[in-house]
Amino acid sequence: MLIIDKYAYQNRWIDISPIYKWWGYLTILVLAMMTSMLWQLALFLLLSVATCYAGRLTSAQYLKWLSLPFGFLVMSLIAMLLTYSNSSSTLIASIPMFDGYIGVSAQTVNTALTTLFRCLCSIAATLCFVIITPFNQCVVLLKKARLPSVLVEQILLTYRFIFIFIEEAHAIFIAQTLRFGYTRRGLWLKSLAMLVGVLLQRVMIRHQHMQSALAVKLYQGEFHQ
Amino acid sequence: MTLSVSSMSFCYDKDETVLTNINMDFSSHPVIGVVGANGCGKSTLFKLLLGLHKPTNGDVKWDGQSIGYSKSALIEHRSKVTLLFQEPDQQIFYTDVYNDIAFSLRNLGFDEAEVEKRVKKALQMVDGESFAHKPIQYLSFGQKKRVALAGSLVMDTEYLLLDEPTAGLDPLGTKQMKTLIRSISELGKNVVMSSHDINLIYDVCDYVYVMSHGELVSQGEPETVFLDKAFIEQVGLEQPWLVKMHQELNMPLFRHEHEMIAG
Repeated sequence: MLIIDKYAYQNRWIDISPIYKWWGYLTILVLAMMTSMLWQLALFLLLSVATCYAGRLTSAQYLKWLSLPFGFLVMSLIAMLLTYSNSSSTLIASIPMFDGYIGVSAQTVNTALTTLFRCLCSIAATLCFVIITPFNQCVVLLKKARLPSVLVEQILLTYRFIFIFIEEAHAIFIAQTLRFGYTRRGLWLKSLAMLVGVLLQRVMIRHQHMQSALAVKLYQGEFHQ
Repeated sequence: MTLSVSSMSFCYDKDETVLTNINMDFSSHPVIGVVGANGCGKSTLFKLLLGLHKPTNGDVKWDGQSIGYSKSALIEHRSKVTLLFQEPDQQIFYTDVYNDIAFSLRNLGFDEAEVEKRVKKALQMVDGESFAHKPIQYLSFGQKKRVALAGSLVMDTEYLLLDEPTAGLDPLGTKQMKTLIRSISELGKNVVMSSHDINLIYDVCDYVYVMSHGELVSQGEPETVFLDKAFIEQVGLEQPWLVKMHQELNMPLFRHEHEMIAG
């Protein structure tokens, strides 16, 4: 997800208002629900090209990201396709099982295809929105949605501290690895426990530092965005 | 506009005194250095100067008057004196450069036109326009340091305290920082800096305070303070290379490298 974040900050449409992007996203989601399969496919292809262009992505990178939700989609589609019937005449393809048949019917194929195109279109729209809307623009949207400022600040600081947290954890992990902390299974668990402990201490120290820095920057209870 | 400390002592707990009877006047010279070995109390001194801690004894004074510790008095004091932390991540909260630099101005209630003007100026000063729109987490250490410095400069305070301003910077970054310190002092601002880079202190500062184990053990102009080799080594420091050249090779005592090359 962090790489997606990096692409989001470099996208070609960064100067477009996040409000337009949000309404565009919602419109496409509605279209994905309402239009026919052909339109959905066309919309999916259009969104894929648009996302690659806007995010300066290679098609390989795009397909890699798409494959993540696609895996879940395939599992769901299999469950949708298969049905159980007493007679094979209602099924397009089937295998006998117990007293009846397991197979696919015209109806399940239709349901699966509808779901497939609808989901593909929605996933492509979401990916496009994520790629063209960096985090600071998402915060603008949250503010426009009149979310309580304390919640927006919480989200803002959490996002900032995710990176600090990862950096700290990574630094401790590297330091432990270089000193052979993860060579054996017993050690591995012990090192991990130490990592978590040290991380907690460092987070507390960071918190103290943050309080000092906020005081120096004249923080009076509100983050501005 | 004077900032000073008089007979100031400070301890975090009763058994451990961090600073003992410190007297310093930071208005006497444009750029003042505070040097000393690790743990001598430099960073604590800076925190006291900003009212982040309250002295156990003695006072921090602004224009000869002890500073107040009420919320409003501290806000007023910190709009005249600010600090650049050693670790840039410590003072950057936002995910983008612009909002982070604008943070303190917005806290003071400046209108957006003024905020924009000042942020642009601060970014120009630190030569940071090229990465102004990059997310913070993808900036290099040197770039983050410049963002943090712009966040301090933007307030246009009378006093700028710099805690190890060149720690972790490459030679070019150090050179830019030196130039910046000079240009800030030329604007009539006072700079107080701590550093372990003695050559930087010798090059940039007009006056130096030497601390050891929480006490002020020496003070004076750099060309006199650093002459006593035994004393400087005793407090855990070393002489600047220009002073060493003067004493070991009998060369004239130069203040700056370019003087030596020109000479």
